[in-house]
Amino acid sequence: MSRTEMGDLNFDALIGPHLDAGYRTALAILQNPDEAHDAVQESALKAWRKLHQLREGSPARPWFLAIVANHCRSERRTRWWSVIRMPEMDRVDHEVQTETIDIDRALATLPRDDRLALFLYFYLDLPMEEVGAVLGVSPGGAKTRVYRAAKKLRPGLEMD
Amino acid sequence: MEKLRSEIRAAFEKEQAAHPPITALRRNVVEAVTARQRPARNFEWVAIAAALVLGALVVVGLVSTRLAHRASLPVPAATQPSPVASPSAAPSVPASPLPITVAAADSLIRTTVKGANPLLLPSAIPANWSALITNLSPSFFTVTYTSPDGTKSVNLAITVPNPPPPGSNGSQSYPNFHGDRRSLYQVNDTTQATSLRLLMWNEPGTWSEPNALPGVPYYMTAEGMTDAEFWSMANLLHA
Repeated sequence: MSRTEMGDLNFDALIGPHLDAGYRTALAILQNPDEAHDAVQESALKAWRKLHQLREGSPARPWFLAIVANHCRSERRTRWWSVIRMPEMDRVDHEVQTETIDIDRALATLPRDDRLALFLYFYLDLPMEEVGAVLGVSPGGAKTRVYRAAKKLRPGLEMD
Repeated sequence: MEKLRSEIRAAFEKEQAAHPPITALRRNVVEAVTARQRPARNFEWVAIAAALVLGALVVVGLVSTRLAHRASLPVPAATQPSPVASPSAAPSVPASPLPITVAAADSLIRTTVKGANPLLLPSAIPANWSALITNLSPSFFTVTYTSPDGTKSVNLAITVPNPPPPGSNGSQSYPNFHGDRRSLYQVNDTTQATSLRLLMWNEPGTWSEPNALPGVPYYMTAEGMTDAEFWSMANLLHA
């Protein structure tokens, strides 16, 4: 087996399992499936080139998700037409709870990094260590970020 | 909190459900990446060879005209510094952190963290900032200082971090901070004056935790601060 083939296998084994989480993260930031797909592909390419920087034994998931998040941040900054997309509301469904709509609206207007912190922690179920690694802060800093973002949604919230 | 957790989760699930998973994403991406990478590597070798030839020509030219002089700037290390995390370097985070004064935080950290010498804390944090200690043990601590208006924050920790590389607008440098050749300074986006920036280094000294590198692994990050502000904080750490 050639060195290149070995590299392909290592890359697939290390990063492959996290591509879907990467896509979901990109989707949460960019709100556009095509752009999210491009972002995860570009991020995977960058991860391949920087694979030697991943410390042996350290988890690949937060490292790769951080690359995705950084790429998406850069993408959003370069879009002069960028707008805040509000979540789609089903106007026909009268059963939708007002509280849920409030959360949707509040989430949509949160600062990008606050929203990302909540997404990583509450949706992807990442531990604080990994949330911190993705956001580029310590686990303690990540906890602060999640707590602060959650408080913006529900003032008066007490963290468990 | 649990109710909010389920509400947030439901909101994200609804948002994500609008876009079904991409079929064969893993296979497509891995194939695309590896296919794009192979020819690129060939060009890399050509570029490296060309750079070596050019470098040799420059050196010969300089020597022959006796104009060569050594640059005074330190040469960055070839690879990113990578202190190896020890399995025990995963302390628990205490629950329900509450902001306290900077002085109270310093006092609390100094009375608890006895396994790190020197124990460095910033002296340039204004007294009206708040401090939040989210991790504290005899060997580790994490404290976040935040300005009254919440626009600036500095995070200082004894921890073994593994920061990801920055985005396309980011930068990395090796400032030889406190004599640590492997110290890394990273700015996530150089096009933004107050982008997230981080500094990691091993402070010469002793640490009670096993670590592959000598000294105490410090990690400092800042948000909402300029380069000058960051370094004024970093240069005023004191034992």
